[in-house]
Amino acid sequence: MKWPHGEATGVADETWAIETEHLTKVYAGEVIAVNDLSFRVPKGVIFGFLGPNGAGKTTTLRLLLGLQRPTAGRAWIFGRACGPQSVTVRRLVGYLPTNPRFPGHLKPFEYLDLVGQLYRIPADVRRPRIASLLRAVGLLGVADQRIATLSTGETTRLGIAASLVGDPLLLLWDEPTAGLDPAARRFALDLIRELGRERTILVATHILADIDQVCTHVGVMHEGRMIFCGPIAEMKRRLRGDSFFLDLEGTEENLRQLAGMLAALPVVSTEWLDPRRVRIAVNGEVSRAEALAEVLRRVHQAGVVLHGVQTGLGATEDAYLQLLQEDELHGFTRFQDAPRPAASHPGTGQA
Amino acid sequence: MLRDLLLPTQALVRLELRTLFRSWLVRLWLAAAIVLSFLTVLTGWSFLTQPVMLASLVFPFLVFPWFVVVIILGTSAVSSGQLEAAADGILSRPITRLEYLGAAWLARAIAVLLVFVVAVIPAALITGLADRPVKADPVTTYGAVVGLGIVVLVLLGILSLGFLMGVLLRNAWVALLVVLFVWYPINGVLTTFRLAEFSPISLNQALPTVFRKSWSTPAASDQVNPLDVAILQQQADEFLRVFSGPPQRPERRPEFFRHDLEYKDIRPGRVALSYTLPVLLFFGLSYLCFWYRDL
Repeated sequence: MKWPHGEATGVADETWAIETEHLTKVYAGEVIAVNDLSFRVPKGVIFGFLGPNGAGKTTTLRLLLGLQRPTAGRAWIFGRACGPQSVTVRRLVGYLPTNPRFPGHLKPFEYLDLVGQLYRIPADVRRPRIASLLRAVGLLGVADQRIATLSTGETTRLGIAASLVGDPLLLLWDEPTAGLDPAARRFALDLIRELGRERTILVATHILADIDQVCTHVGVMHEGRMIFCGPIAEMKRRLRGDSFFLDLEGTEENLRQLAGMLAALPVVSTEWLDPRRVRIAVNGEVSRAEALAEVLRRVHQAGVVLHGVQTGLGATEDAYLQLLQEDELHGFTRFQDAPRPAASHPGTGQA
Repeated sequence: MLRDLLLPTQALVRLELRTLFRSWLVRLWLAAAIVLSFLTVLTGWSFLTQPVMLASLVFPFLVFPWFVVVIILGTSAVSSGQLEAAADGILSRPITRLEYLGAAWLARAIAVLLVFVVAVIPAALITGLADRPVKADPVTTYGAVVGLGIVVLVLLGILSLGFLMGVLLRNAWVALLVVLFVWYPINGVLTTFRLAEFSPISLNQALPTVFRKSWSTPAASDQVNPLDVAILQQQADEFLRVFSGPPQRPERRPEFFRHDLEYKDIRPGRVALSYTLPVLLFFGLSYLCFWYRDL
């Protein structure tokens, strides 16, 4: 799958599931929730929308759904402009809000039937679909209970079912695993994986483990800006691609000796995270295997016990935190580097 | 095709109606309105002619206290707390804001009219069909349709005003206070500008005249009967005395319902128009506010 690099034309392109161009949302002229956001999500991917609390993820989703109006910029879903009147856009989207709240006096079937009617689905199609959805999300057992009596996990499952009633091409799920127990979380992640075979899914979350398990692509938001947008493997490779971690055990003297030996090695640079854990970054032209072999030889020579070697490739959390850290450090240069309207580049949020 | 088009609105109206009739406010209102109608019939059984009896039954809706409930229903329709849930569960689906707002208004209008019909119509039928010891003073079909139509329009006007304030101010209780602040002195304001026939109190006094009208009644008979006004005024005084307790000084008469001497006639067409236009205006303004709102 090719990742976007082309210039924005201001014309909607149906090849993207989601496309935004300089999307900006300022509340009451004071709080910048979304700041000049330009990114694209290809069709058919599971897109992890990462960011700390308050990064602007939920606001972006609400802008896409037309629940809020952008202060500036535009957004498209499957080439159709987003906005409060964009019924055709919302027909293509299944939305799961964070901690969904539904009419407590209705029963799950009744609520899903209501949602089906909002999608204008005829009764003969709607009702069998709802029955199979209730079975699929494991709510058949509580189908005759009022929604107010459902647990958090069951309510989320109902929200998941509601987002699927219209059989949408795009799912926007905001914190789908928030407040779920391990079994319910596993269920949600399996479902995302399953649904991702046929649909585009955007999962907004700050739980990195979820992203790591199910997403193929990732966008990282920080303070309203997209600081990275691309395949998840690329994010890991770019940020921590040539580093690994050693967990060690030894006397203080031996560890100090090892630190000196590693510092003298030209092929690597070291960072001691604590007295028994060191991050090794591979420098120059040597292969990772060669550098690792050199390092392990020094460990043996220093008489230090090696408890474990951990590659940096799987460490999404480190990559994510490094992205945030780098974004903080950029400070004013962010503004200077920001794309200008005359030559805009959606996807320039890519690291 | 049309059925598919209206499917979301129908579903939302059903949901809103169900929510409304599950609320304690509407249930208590319905029960209290029926009880009050029963008491009105009981107290006026032997001396109120049918047109005056009907006007007495309508009094709580037009003047006090049920108009407050109608306003509350309007202001609470799209308040901030309710809107958050609606945004997540309903407005994120493929419906327009007009459909949502229209359904919210329509459901409340239906609820208000249902309570009005259930509380007033059976009582009116009983008093109309029963053999009561009062002189014959029949209500014409035309008069009943026009009179009750005007009452319905006034109720929709009050509801729409509350609805607009709820959308505008977002907080249902603040909106209620504002509407009460506007609505209470309206009788005095309209009288000052010689528009007394539009005020709910004057309308209530004029209703017996309207109830007696027929298609062929000449315009001259739009004159309000002073006797009706006096009786209704007395009824209103008694009614308000029940709410506020017996007066401390017996000679003092409540001035709340005092008849404006300059007000002599009622033109139903003009009154109907003067309430239809505000209903449309208030709903249009509500939609305009809602259109620009971030959810």
